[in-house]
Amino acid sequence: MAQASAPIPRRTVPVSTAELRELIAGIDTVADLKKLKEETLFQDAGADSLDVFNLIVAVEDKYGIVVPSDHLSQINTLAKLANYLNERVA
Amino acid sequence: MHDGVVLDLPFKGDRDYLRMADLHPAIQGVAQNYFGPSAQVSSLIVRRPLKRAIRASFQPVEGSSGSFRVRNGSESIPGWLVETDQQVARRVPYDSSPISAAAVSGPDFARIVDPLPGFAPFDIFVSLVKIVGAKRTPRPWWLCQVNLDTPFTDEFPFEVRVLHWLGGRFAVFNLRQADTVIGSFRTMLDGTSI
Repeated sequence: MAQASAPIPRRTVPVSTAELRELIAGIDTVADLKKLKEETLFQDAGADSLDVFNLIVAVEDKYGIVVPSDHLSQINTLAKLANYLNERVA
Repeated sequence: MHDGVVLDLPFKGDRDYLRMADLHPAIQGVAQNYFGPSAQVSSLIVRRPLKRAIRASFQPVEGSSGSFRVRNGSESIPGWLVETDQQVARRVPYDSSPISAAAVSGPDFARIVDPLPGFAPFDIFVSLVKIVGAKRTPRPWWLCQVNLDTPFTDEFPFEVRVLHWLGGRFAVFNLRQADTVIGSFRTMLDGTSI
C-alpha cells in the first residue's frame, strides 16, 4: 500500500547496490549496514526484522512498488533486492 | 549523563512490558533536562518488549534494546535504551476503553473527533492504531517505532491512517492532528521475525 503523491517514472538505469546502500544510510538500523556486502544475508550482518521491514518500506516509497508478502523472504541480500527491483522498475 | 538516566516507569494495566506511550514522555523529560526546553524526541525505536527498568543514555551501547533521536535546533542527537537489572517496581491501572468507545474507524483508519479528557495524545494514537490493527488480525500488534515531525498538540481530530501493510506482519501508520500529518507509528505483529 505504498502511496505516492505523483507517479514514479520508470527508470532508464538499473538500480545499483550502491544506491540501495544510500537508502539504508537513511534508516536507523541496529547493525552497521552501510558497508554491507552484496551477497551477505541481512540477518548475518546483524539486521533484525524491524531493519528489514524498514528497508522494504523505504524501497516501496522510493520506487513506487508494493512488495507482496510471499516475496519478502526471497529478498534477503542487497544483490537480491537490486535484482528484484530491476525486474520491476528498470 | 555519562552513565545515562534510569527512567522511573510503571507497568500499566495488565501489561508486563513498558509502554512506548510512557517511554516517550520520560525520554523527552531527560532530553529537555539535558539539552534545554526546545529539545524534542523525534524518533523512538524499541526492538523487543522492555520488561525491566530502562536506562536512557547518550553514549553508544552495544546490544541496546532500543534507540531514540533528539531534535535540538538543527542537531539530531542519537540516544540508546538499555534494560537494567532492576525490576519494574510499580504497576498502575490503565483503561483505554473510553478511547475505543469514542473512535470511528474503517478498514484502514481510525479517528477521534472530539477532545477526550484524561488521555495523553500518545495514548490516543496507540489505541487508534490498535483498533485498525485488530481489523486485520486479533493477534496483538506491537508498537516498535515512532517518528514525530512535530510535537503532539491538543488539537483534534486525531486520526491514524495506514500507509503500508507489509507481509501482514508490519504496518506503517500516518498520525494526523487537525488534518496535519505530524509523524508515523510502525507496528509489528507480536513475535514476528522475517
